[in-house]
Amino acid sequence: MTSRPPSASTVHHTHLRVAITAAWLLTKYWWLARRGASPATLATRLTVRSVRVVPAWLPSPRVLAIVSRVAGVHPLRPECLPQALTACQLLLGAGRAASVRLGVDRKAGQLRAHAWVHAADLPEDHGRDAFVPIGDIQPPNAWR
Amino acid sequence: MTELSLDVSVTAADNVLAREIEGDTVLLSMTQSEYYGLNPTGTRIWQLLQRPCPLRDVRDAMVAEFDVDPVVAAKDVMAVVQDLVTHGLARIVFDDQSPA
Repeated sequence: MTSRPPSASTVHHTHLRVAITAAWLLTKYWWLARRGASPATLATRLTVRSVRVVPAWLPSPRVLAIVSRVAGVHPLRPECLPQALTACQLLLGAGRAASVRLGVDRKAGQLRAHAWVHAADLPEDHGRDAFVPIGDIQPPNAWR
Repeated sequence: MTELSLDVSVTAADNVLAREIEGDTVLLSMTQSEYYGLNPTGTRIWQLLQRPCPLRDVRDAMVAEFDVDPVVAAKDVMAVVQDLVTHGLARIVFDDQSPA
């Protein structure tokens, strides 16, 4: 069975809903990151299917693009970790397997950390740059 | 708090993620929000602590592999392990926790 493509109006309204939800999630995760929440604590905040604004027809790369765009105009200027957590939460809400991947890199003796989204329908290197993965933040039920 | 000595066994803590990068090791505790870096010597100590290991054995391995004076090696091993324990990256294993 093939589903009809969404109308332009539906696409527009969906993008808007995702963007507004992303703005709220970015604020939440920015605040948690700023408080120095550990990966284990952040994982408990990733709840599967609690934020259902991403429909099945909206591809994951598009969700990430919306999050990135919202982060660019967000007054708190959320960095990679809040962005990755937000995108991950949105994808989990759509029933897609996703996690936040943490990575590190050494440049000129300095340790740099980065976070990006890992999902089955995203390219493996999406957002990774030169960072070496060290571990994942996954929703608690994924650990069982 | 248990004083570290060469007779004490120590092992890497649970929930610590580690990754080697160009001979160094980066550690991330899932219960903290900070990354820690180990140089190649610290990396070797970390590898030895992947299972409960008396610090005397760690010292002996360092002496054998790095051609260092045993007294200096013992002091350095204790300092690194003390740091790891203080930051929750390693834990002291008491006799009743040792694997049978």
